[in-house]
Amino acid sequence: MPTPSAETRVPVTILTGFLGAGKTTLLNRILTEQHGKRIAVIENEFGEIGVDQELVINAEEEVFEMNNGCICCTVRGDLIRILSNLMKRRDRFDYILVETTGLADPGPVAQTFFVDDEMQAQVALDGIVTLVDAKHIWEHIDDSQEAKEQVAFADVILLNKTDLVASADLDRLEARLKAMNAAAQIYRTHNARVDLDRVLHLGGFNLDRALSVDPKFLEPEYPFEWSGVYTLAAGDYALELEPGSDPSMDVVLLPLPEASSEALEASKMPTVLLFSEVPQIVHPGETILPAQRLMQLQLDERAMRFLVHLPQAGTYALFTEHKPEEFQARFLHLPSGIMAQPMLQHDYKPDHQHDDQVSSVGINLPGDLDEKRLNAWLRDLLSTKGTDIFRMKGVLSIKGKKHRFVFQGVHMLFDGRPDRPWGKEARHNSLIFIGRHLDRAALTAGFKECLA
Amino acid sequence: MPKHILSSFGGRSPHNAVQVAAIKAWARAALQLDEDAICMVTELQCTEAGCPPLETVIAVLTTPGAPQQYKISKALGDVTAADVRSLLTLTPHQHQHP
Repeated sequence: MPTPSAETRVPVTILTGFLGAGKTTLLNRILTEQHGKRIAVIENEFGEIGVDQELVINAEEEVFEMNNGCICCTVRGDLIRILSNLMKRRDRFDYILVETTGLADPGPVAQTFFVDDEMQAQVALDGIVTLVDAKHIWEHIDDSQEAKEQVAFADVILLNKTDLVASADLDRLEARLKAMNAAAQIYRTHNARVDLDRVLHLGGFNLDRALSVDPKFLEPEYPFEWSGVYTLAAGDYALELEPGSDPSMDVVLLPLPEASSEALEASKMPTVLLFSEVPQIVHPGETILPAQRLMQLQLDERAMRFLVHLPQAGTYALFTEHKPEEFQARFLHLPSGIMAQPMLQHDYKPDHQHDDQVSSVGINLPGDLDEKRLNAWLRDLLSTKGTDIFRMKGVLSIKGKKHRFVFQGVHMLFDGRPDRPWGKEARHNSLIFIGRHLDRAALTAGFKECLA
Repeated sequence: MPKHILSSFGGRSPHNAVQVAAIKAWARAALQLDEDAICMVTELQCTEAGCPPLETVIAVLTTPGAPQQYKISKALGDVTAADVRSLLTLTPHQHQHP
């Protein structure tokens, strides 16, 4: 196994974004700022850069397929030619920026950096930065594949021109982009003003950075958002709710052997299964009994009260589809009206229901992977689903290997290498997919099968 | 699909890089490429019926817009100088996926 060594390859940042989103503004900002880097720029639209740069090279988009008809092996011939020539002048720059046209598909541009061994030995994709025009993106995001892919491929998304959009609309847009690409850092900018360390030297392999975007990203998604554990006397209780975001709420109330996080954890997966069953409809005023079954509370415009009858004292877990605070839920002892407080409670990452075909899946597994099984799984997965998997990143613990294995991929191509030793860190595996029509359950099951 | 997916998770094999460099040198000599011509070599997997599981693709970019491809029905590590030399007698392979 080769010893991990310091990165000596030239980092490459790809700037994407629709026409008018602010790519050139950002590029000019990068080139004029005093950062001490010598940057070679490859741009698609000649003459846009108003800065005297020694190394500004104009590219004419020339897409070609290494394997005819296979988009996964489609690269940019113009870039290959330019990069090969650039590398002959390696001493004149220490960073490469590639600005794509507004309508460019980022796939072939990114794949160019993975397809040839010699190229990969000299340059490394550092990151893909996508500029989004916060005001006009709505005109494209629903029906432009390019716009969707530019978002999906991004390591960093700059939500630009924020001065033209109301804050609530920005929140809505950011939520939409996050649902498509949960691994990207999103920054709101005006005139593409951003600290350069947020867009350069991202480190293509830096999954830790991707995970810092949303610590819950690698957690499984659950059909419930909250659970609470109560120790209660036998008798009658009331669950009171105010009107909220949904006309109904699924709940499960079931006995637990003890009030511990272990007992709650053990009940989680059986409850996931209960949440997939047909619910029993419960109207306000009706009674809920603790049982291994899903109940659907019918909510209307008024404050609602559901009765809860506990035939015996004990510990109970309540799982709710939404967070209780969204409905100002109160769990009251009757007839005293004293509020029952949970002994412990837990928030879960909800199942994201969204219309976009583009989404992200993160999987985290403790333990070691069997190298052969992993290779076989990835080979099969990428040969059948590679077209839909835009990007993939991972930190893997391979059985028998001292070092973490880090990799990133674009469609079927990928680049990976041993990283630092695991040391005292618990060995685990993190994998992120961003793509179209991703099947979270199948990906998770397949990855689990690779455990040693 | 390139070799990297099939290769060891222990890291990229230095022998692979040596072999790629050798294939490029053979191809340059066989096709009498000048210094400015770009030559790329990659190993792809093909799942289509009737195709070999692994093939080595040599792409040559001489003039813009007219890349040429040559394919050898062997894994990259098994390609010999004789295989590459025989490219001279072949027309660029057009491999059609459905």
